[in-house]
Amino acid sequence: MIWTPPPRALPNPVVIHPWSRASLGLGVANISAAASGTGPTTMNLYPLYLMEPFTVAKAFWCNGATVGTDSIDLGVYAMTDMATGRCDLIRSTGAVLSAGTASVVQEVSAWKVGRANLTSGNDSTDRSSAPGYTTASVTLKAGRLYLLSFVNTAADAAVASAITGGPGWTSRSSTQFNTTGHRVSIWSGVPTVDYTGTIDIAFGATQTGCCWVLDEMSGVGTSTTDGIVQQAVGTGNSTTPLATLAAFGSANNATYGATGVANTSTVAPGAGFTELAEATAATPASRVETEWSVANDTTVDSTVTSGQWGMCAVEIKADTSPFVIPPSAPGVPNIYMAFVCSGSTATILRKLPGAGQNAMAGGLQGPSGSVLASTITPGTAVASSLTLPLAGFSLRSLIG
Amino acid sequence: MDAFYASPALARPGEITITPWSYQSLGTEMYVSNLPVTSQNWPTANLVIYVPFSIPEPMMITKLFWGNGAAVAGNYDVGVYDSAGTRLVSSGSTGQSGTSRLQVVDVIDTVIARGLFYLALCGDTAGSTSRVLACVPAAGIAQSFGLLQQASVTLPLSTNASPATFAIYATALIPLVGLQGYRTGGP
Repeated sequence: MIWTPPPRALPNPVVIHPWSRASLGLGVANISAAASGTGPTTMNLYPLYLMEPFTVAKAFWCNGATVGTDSIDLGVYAMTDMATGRCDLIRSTGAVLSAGTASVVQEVSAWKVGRANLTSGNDSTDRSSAPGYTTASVTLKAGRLYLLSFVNTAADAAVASAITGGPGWTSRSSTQFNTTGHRVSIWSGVPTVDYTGTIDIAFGATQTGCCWVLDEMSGVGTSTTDGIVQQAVGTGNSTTPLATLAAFGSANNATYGATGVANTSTVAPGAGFTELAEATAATPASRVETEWSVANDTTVDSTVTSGQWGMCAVEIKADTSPFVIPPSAPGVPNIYMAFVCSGSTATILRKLPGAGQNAMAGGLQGPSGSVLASTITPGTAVASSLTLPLAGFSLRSLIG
Repeated sequence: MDAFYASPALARPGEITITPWSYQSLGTEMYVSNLPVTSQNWPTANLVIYVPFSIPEPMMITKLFWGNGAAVAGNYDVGVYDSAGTRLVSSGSTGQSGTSRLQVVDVIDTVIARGLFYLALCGDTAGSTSRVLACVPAAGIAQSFGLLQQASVTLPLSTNASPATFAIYATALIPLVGLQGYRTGGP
């Protein structure tokens, strides 16, 4: 039996945001008055200094004078590599349409799936296994969902016999198209430990080429079938690939699709989808494109140059466990709140520090984009004037 | 002098007085917001305003207070609630007295544990005859800071807001309300 002294630090505030003592706080004092204005269209990151876990009941932001049109995404990252600055998304609201009443708090209590593309590539060499078709070296994080989508070609394009490297991989959706000459597939894996290395796609018989895309998903409930709820496939010869999913299990679940075509022309994502990546192999001509929607979308589609196509689609289960912001690692303040707005029509209540002031206080600027990516490596923003929104997280549900 | 062992303090000790301007309450946010304190009308009769604060260690509350503005009338009740809405201590309905100064009420010494709490202030008279020291942030700011409110509470708090029924804050005013702990002398 040992004696542990009681905690002496101040408990978490009921609400945390960039203005609070749990974030930039006094580091951005003496700046312009709060005013209605546009939100940042690049990801802005603000350090959080928490002594204890913070169980989020609501995310919120204070709307400005104009609501509507644009979406806001609010989330929390952990900086998992203090040398490179790599940040991994813990949870996020996803893109939420600005709505409600001007100059009043808008709240969110649903946490969505985040995503990022890790790599893509192609190989027109005849291969089967040892080695099969091998990706570039990638880093996979424990507990996250990884989707490997690929198109392989042969007289009778085969199902991959094994995928090795990192987690155990499982085929989730696959279909031949272009008669039997092409096949598009989605495989999933959830590492139990971090992995850095290549991933090898092997076949039991010789294939004549392969092109692939590897995507990462965060905020996924991976306990059952890696978080893949359902799948659908479609094939055809037209400009409009389509796979139709059944009704979704939850409004918080996300949609993912992989289009395969028997040519090298560019693929455009369907309405409501965001393209993650494309890869093409010249010989035989083939292309794979992956796309994603944070929302439910049973009509998983894309647009291609007229020709043979195959489409795979899956529903991804959003994590339903509580959203807990961890305290900073001992001696390593590594937790960041992130905020991004999809456009410049909707307004929020915010302050605008002078150029460099936010960076001086520890703020960072991530890439542009309308939603928070599952993995980012932000840069400093010494020359930029980051936005300081009145937005954050509440311990209690009564906020907005 | 008796020898004793005290573990080293690993954090800032608790503050003797806590108001919305304290580090343990909304101090940082208030400073960042550049909000001056002025004499303001009490916004709505029988409205309770709850201001969040937290303490790092157990403390004994000895006094409660609020800031009177340039005119005084009616009655006020000041109290402390836990985060579940349970009233822990309050002054009882007290006639507002003395312009432009703190009005302090000695209360039953009450020990509260480390945690999150709310300062509560309720006045039964609205308008220019009953004024308090307060800041007036832009719409939405006080709501974003985590303040809560309860309407139509006839004083005293111990009868009609025990426990409290918290509601979303819809008032553009943060009053100077506070407590004193640890010691009995002052303010």
